[in-house]
Amino acid sequence: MANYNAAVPGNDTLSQAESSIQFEESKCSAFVSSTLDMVKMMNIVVFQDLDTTLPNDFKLTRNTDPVPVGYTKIWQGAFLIIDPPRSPTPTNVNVIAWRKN
Amino acid sequence: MNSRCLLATLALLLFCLEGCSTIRHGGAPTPAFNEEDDLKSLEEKYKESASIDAFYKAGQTAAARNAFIDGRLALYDMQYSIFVRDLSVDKQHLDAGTDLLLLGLAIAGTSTGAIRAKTNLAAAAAAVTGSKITVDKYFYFEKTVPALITTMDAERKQILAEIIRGTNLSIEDYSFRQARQDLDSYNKAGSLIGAITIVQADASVKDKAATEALRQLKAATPEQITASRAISTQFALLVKDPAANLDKINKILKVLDPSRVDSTPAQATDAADQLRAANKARQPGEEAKWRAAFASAGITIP
Repeated sequence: MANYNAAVPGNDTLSQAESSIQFEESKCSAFVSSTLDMVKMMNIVVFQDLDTTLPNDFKLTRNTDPVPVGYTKIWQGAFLIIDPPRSPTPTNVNVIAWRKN
Repeated sequence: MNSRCLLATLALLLFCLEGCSTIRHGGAPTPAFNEEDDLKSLEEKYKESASIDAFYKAGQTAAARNAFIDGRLALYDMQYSIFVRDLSVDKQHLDAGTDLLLLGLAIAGTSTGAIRAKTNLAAAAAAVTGSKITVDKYFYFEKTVPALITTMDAERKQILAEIIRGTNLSIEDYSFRQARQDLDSYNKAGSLIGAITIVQADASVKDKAATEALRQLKAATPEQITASRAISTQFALLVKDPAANLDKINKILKVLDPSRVDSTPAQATDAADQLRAANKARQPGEEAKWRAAFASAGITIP
């Protein structure tokens, strides 16, 4: 299956970023990884096209958050998000992507 | 002894350098004619016809315009040829000169016994290397000179085609004023600043296209995600057997895009591919439209 890229804006909250990835996955794609684009202030997310298969549920948490029960870590890295009022501008945060077993 | 040794080495290297036609002529053979002399001859020959006065004195005809164009083109081309040659030679002189100077300093450095002299020569060698890097970075944009020359050539050819087309037209259809403007653009296209502007504009267009091609994801509500998964479940059932579901797929595609002609595409695989593409492009908030599309094919999305 082919991979493709999509952008998650750096001015989304962690919850918004998670939901936009979940929505993309709901169209038979699976999150693979993400890289930062510090010039355009966005996250370039790599998805795998699963054609007609829906992947299991996806979660995106900070690396300091508790491990979600029943999920397996599929990726960890830097992600650009905002966290108002503490951090109203895009900030580089260490996050973990999880997949439900 | 050391400074004498260094001077002798450098003199020998510079002597060798001076004799090298590859360095002197920008990687080209020795010219069969003197470009500076040619330029003077051309200036002399076209001094009259390439002047604005001559055009008005000759009765403002198409022939006078073309004579003006010919003269200006010849002069611009010769100047450009010299400019490009010097540009290439400058860069090569810089490289060769610096490398040879470094070699000389290194030789002198190893031949001296005094620690202080060695330190000074090492510092000099470092300074030469540093200067070259600075010149490369700020004046020659590292290895971009050939790319800039190619850009200048391409831009000049494009404008030249317009000018040549103009010379076949009447003075009313290709005015003297327009010809002067085109000639001015042609001359400016042969400048580094012009080439850099074009390269930057190209890069900007490419960057914009790349950004536009990258689909930006939108945040969704939990309800939208649940509905989207339900749509995809039904979508998967249809495209897994497109031949059996061709009619249903076409009905769905028709609702999603009312401008579509009924019963197209006729091929089941094409229909399935179009539904795949439409499903991938689906955005949060379009669930109602998709429910209606599936309903038209008798499929209920929970």
